[in-house]
Amino acid sequence: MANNDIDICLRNVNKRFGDIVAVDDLSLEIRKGEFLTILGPSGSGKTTTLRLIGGFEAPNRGEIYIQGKLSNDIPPHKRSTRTVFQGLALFPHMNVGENIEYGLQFQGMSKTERRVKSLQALSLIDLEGLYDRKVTTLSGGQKQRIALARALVTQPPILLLDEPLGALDEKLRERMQAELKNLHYKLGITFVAVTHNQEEALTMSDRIAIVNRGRLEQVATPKDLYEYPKTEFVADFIGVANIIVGILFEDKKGMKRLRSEGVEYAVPQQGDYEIGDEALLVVRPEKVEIGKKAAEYNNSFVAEVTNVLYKGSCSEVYVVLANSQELRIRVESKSFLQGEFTKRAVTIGWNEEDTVVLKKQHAT
Amino acid sequence: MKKRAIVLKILLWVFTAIILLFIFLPSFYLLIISFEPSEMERVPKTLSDFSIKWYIRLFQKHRLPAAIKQSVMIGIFTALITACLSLLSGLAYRRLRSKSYFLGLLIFPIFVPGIICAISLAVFFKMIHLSASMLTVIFGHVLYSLPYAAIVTLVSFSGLQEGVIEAARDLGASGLRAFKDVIFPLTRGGIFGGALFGFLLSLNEFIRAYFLSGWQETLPMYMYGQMKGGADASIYSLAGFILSVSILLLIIIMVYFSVVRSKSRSVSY
Repeated sequence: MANNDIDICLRNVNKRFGDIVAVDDLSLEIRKGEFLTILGPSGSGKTTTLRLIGGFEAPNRGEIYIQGKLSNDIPPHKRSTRTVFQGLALFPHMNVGENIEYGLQFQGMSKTERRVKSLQALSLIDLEGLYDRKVTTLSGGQKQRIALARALVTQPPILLLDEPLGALDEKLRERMQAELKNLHYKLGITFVAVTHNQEEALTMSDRIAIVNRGRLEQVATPKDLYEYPKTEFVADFIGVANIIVGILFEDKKGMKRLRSEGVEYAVPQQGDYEIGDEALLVVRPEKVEIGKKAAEYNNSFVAEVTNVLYKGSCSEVYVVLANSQELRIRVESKSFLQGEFTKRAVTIGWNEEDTVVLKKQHAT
Repeated sequence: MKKRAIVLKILLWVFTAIILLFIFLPSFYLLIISFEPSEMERVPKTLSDFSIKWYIRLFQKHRLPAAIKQSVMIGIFTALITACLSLLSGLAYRRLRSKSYFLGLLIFPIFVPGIICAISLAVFFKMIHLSASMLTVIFGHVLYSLPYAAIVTLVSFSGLQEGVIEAARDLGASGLRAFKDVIFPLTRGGIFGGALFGFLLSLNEFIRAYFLSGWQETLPMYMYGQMKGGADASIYSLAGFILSVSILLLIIIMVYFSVVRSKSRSVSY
């Protein structure tokens, strides 16, 4: 592995716990300096993958390269990764300063040097003056930052974060997302985070690796994952999607279209699918328009509004087509009020180029 | 409603007092009658009758100091070995998949009646040609006290947040350093508790000592012998003496721990 751009390379990694396969033939490259998030539902193997990178588990099969070096058998403290653990794992019997300094003593620094470094770290994370406090007396956000400082003060080239914002409440989480992203930008090192919260992943990451049941579904930038999902799982997991299942056929003009429950939809002509394939049409809620203008699209239908949900900055309109196909549409709130529109017939439509067609994968 | 709550509260306290009295009265009775100078088992009639005659006689008995020494030594060794073993079980328990089976195994000796344990050990030692001595008593006492000590130690281990040890390793600590810096400071109380259990249980244990002891008897064995062999009233002063020492030790430990606890809020490692 001579490529200098890649900090971490996982090749065909497999990890089993008894009968359960946690990580199934996973290959992934993480670029130097990027913020990559491994995203997936509970039990998808994302934490196991992070632990494999960190050296807390050994793979049953496959190779793990860290900064070009084969690291399967290298213990955590000898790898150039540092981990911020879920639940933070601060040392409860030590104070803040001692916690932050802990790793430095293994780097051969004198006591005074360590103290200087940890005081620096404290001011960097805005917690000056808390050196002597016992960690058990701190708030969630403060503990979070100290756990980060403890890992970062040893200046690792790669930082691993296991559900970094899990223990925080909504408001704090939003702020910390921005702070983490900022920290990443300032430090310029590689961040690898694990989370089940897709909004968090979308906000902070340069790229996201989506895992499901131990397999890698897709790895791409947040935008590419949202706009061009490659599998049904990704389409459904990231954001909200309307997924229409049907069969691809050729119309009189030679164009590919999708037929589902008696309705025919226009689809993008370019894509990895053929006439006759069973396929999924992924339509994002905000790509659908409601009203007179909607009639101009190739895909335009008359639908009945079944519900309108007000969500502050936007509203969600639930409609149903004549063939009982339900669709979820997102619009700006100023256009819609609940009472007025439920049960009314509206015209909806979308540009087929704003949608994605995926070949249906059958369970393997 | 409020009146009812008060009545219930009073009843609860009365009930508690009765239970405590039931537990402590016999021992205190012995303590009191140990001050009666005559050979009779009775509470001294008047305050001026209180005498420490039997206490003086007690320390003239030549077999007693040896028995005390033997019991204390066995107790200390039992404490040390039991503490080590419970520490090891604590460390192992964390890593085990089948935690409940392990716990079951550790606790199992509690369910074996003392006399059966004692006799089977005696037979076992005879089989392997290990003659009865202080060593065999220690063995029996460790087996006896380990379940209790292990539980105390395991409780303090379960208070260890899982990631804390991994965090220390990740930051560069070797297994030994992680133990010294993280595990030990946080589980010290449980390990000491295990040692304490080992010592106290051993000190008072009779049946295993009886079957496994060599020439030198332990304190409980001495007392048993005295009761059986028609002793003088010095056995009451012995009981009183043991009771007083136990209470004193307890007070010392409690004071120590409350001082340590308030100190540990500001001590650095």
